[in-house]
Amino acid sequence: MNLSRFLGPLFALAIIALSGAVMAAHHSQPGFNPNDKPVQLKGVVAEYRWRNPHVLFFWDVKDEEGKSVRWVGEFASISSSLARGITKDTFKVGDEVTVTGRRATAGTPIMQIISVVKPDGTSINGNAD
Amino acid sequence: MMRSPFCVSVPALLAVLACSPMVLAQSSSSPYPPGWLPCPRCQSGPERAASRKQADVENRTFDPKDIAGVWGNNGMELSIVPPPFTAKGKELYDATRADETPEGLAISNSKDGMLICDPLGYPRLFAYNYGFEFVVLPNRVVQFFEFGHTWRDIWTDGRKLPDDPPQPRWMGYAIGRWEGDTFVVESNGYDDRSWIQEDRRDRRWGFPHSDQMRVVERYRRTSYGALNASLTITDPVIFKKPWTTTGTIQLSPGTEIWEYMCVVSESEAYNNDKLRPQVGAK
Repeated sequence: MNLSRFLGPLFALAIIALSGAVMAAHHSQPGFNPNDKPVQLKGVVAEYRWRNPHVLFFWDVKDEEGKSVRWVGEFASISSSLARGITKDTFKVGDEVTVTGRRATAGTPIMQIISVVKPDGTSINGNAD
Repeated sequence: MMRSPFCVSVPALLAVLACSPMVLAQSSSSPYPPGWLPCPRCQSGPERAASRKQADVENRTFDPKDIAGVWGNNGMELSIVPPPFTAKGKELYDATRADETPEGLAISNSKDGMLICDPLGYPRLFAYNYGFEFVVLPNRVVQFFEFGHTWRDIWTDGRKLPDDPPQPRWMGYAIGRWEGDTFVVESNGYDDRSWIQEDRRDRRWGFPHSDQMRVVERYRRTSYGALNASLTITDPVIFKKPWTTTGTIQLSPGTEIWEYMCVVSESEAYNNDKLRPQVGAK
C-alpha cells in the first residue's frame, strides 16, 4: 500500500485546518457551538454601529409573548467589511431584516451571524474575521 | 465622470461576477471618493489581484535597495510553534490565560491589552498590522502601521542601540543597515507590557516578552511586488532558543494607509455589548 497517497491529502487537510485556526478573528469568539443548528430571527434594525474593532449590528425581535428583545451580532472590522462590499450605508435603522445565525450558548441575545437578508432580498455575509 | 479607484480587468470582473454576485452588487457604488485609494485590507481578493496586475508587479523592474511602499494587508504571523519556555517564561505565559465564566468559557482573550487599546507594540505589529508603509528618509526609515495609526523610526544614521535605554518603549529602539541587498533591522529596549503575539494555537493565551528581548529583522526585495522577510526574537528570560519566522510580504499597490485607531470608548462598548454577553459574563 502506498501510504503517501493517503497521507498527502491528510497532511493537506491538517494544514487547512491549522490555517483556519490561524486566520481566526483577532477577537476570539467563544460562546458559540459550531454544531448548533442555525436559526432565523426576523426583526427590525435598531442600531448599525459602523465602528472598530468590529462592526456591531443590533436588531429588535418580538419573542413568543410579543415582547421586543434586542439582539446583537457583528460583522468584521471596518476595512474587512469594506473588502466584502459592506459599507456604512448597507443597513439603516428601521430596515426589516431576516438574520440567520447561531445563538450564544449562554442564552443571551447574541448571535453569530451567518447572513442577513435585507428588504430588497440582498444577502449580507456575516463572517466576522 | 467619477473615476474608479480600481482598474479592474474584464477577466477579473468576470471572476467577481461568477464567484461573488453578492459582493459585486454591493460594490457597484464605490465607497472611495475619486482620487482616494482603499486601505490594504479594504480590498477583496479579486480587487487585490487586479491592483497587482495593473502594477505589473511580477515583471516590473525594481531597485532592490528601494523598499518604499505599502506592504501587506494583515501582517505576517509568527511561526506558530514557539521555542521552549524558560521557567520564568512559562510562569508569565500561564499568567496570560484569559478569565473564564463559571461554565468554563473564556471571556475572549481578556488579558490581552489590545481589548483596552494598549499599544500592540513591536514585534506584534510585525505579525498584525492591517498593512504598513516604508518611507525612506536620508537618516531613517519610517514604518507606518495602519493598525493603531502609529509608526516606528528605524535609524540608519550610524547610531548604535542603547546598552541601557533611558525608558522602555512599546516600539523599541531600532537601527537599520544594508548588508548587500538586505535591509537589516536590529532593535531592543522594549516595554515588557506588550505581547509578542496571541497564541494562535489556543487564543486564550498570549506570548510575553521581557525587557531583554532583542529583535533582528531582515528584508530583501526579490521582485517589484515581493519582500522576503525574516524576524528573529531572542529573549533569554522567556525562551530557551531564538524564535525565527520567515515569509514573504506582498506589495499592496493601489492602496494607501488608512486610520485604524484603537479607540478605548469604542472597544469598551464592543466588549460590553458583544464580547462579554456572548459568554454570559457581566
